[in-house]
Amino acid sequence: MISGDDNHASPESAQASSRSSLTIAGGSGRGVAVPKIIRKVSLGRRAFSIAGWALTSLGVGLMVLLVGSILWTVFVGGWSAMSPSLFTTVTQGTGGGLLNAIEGTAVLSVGALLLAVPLGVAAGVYVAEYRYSRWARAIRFVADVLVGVPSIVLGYFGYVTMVEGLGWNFSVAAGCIVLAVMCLPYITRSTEFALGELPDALREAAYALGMSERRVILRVCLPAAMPGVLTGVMLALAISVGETAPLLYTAGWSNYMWDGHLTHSPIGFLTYAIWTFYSEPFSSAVALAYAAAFLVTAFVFIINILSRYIMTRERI
Amino acid sequence: MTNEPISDIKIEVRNLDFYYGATQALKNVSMAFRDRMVTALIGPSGCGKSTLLRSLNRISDLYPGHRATGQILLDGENMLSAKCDLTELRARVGMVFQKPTPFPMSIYENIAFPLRMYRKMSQSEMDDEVERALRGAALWDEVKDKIHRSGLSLSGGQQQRLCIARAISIRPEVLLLDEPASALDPISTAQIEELIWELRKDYCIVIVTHNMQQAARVSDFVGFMYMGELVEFDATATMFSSPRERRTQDYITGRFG
Repeated sequence: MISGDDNHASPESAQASSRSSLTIAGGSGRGVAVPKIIRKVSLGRRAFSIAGWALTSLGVGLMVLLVGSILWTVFVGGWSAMSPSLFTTVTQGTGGGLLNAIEGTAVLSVGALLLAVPLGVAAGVYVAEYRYSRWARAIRFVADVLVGVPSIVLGYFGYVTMVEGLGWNFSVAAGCIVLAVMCLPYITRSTEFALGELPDALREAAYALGMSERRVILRVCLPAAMPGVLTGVMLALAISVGETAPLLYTAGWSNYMWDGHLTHSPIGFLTYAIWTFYSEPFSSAVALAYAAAFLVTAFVFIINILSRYIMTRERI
Repeated sequence: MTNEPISDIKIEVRNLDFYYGATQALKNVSMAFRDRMVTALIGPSGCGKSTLLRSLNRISDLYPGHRATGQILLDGENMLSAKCDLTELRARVGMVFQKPTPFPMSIYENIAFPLRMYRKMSQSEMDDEVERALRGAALWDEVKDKIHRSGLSLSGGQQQRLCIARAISIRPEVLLLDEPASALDPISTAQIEELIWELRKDYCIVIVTHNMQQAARVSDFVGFMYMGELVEFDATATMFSSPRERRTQDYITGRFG
């Protein structure tokens, strides 16, 4: 229709109709001009749309390039450093394997989650269920502040209070506690968010069956919010596996396997290997750093995919 | 329905005032709900019909700043008194909500889980109870082969009937329905309405609806509410043919609301 109108329109009549298009915008005039307006607007819109597409593509492209190059570097460097002995021997000076570090990262992360998950989920439930109470507001505020505290500050805090203050020395306990403090706000907020997302009617329906508050929260709401809660736990796990700074101050480093003591016994961890060995002048050390980076990246990658899968699997 | 004998009064509301903070949502409402009859509450949004419904099992207690004065008698006992046991009250007065609210568990557990709170029973007894509830909600034939699948895997209409099954599984005496079909397609709506008419034989049913035709189809009595007041309350046939109040007539003929 638009093109048909254009085909036999002289420049004059086009001008006339564009003038009348102004009057149409005011509310009266000939109907012929309407397509003109639409076409003009659509041209502007199309330009805007093209610019938008270009900018977004550029952004996505840069992002992919960045992540891709990181993954590529880690993969290429890490893959060539992979060998069975990495997983069977402990670190010896600037060479050897990473068994002690792998074990240490596992111990520290699991320990941190054991502390942070019950506390964080409990706090999240409280904040979600009593959202208007003064305590809930305080917890929310503290959680937000905690997210913003640089991890090295938390590490130093752990050093002053536990390593020095309580005399635990570099130890599993100090490392786990600092990691747990780091993870707490993520678990709390994701639990709160997941519970807040549930329809009010679900809660009301449970109460309407005569359930107690405890039953409503623990048996109905929390299971319904589980995908969101688990995502927070996964995020926390990824954080604790990937953190370096707080552990440098609290866990120390050890070339040996963990002796099972919670205090007075330092422990190795993967990110230490990246942090320290990369700048060593020995190729065996650099290879260890790459191998550790590869393991950490791959693990975090898998966790991310897993939590996405959990999130999308079944929703209310 | 007019030649049936008038049944007993199951719930009697006396001079009920209800406040949310400073806002008064119900103004001196008095009415009676009869046993084995369907009473519909109609009126424009915000008229208080939902608040009245939610007072009848005190689910309105969940809202912050609520306050109710007056009396609501269930079989002669005032449920607004401090002595009233909410768990027992809600076991006797079941409720179904606008949006289907299956719990995040299997179809079977959706019914068995609340039921277990009230009665200890063997596995086979439980199986019978679950089947009875699902049959009561006209859902059994559709789900009997997938009873251990998630309740969330059902269609909207099926989910709503699952919620009705869950509500009747604990053998309540009253069923409160808060716009039970407004989120459903016409076929599911028809099924729910048919089901309401079936359930009417055993329960005192109170239904809130925005749908005039639905109120006319499923109810024995209708209460028209406006601005927190009960404007008119009468037998359904009378209400829809010759309402006494001008406001009622305007509303049911679609002039406002």
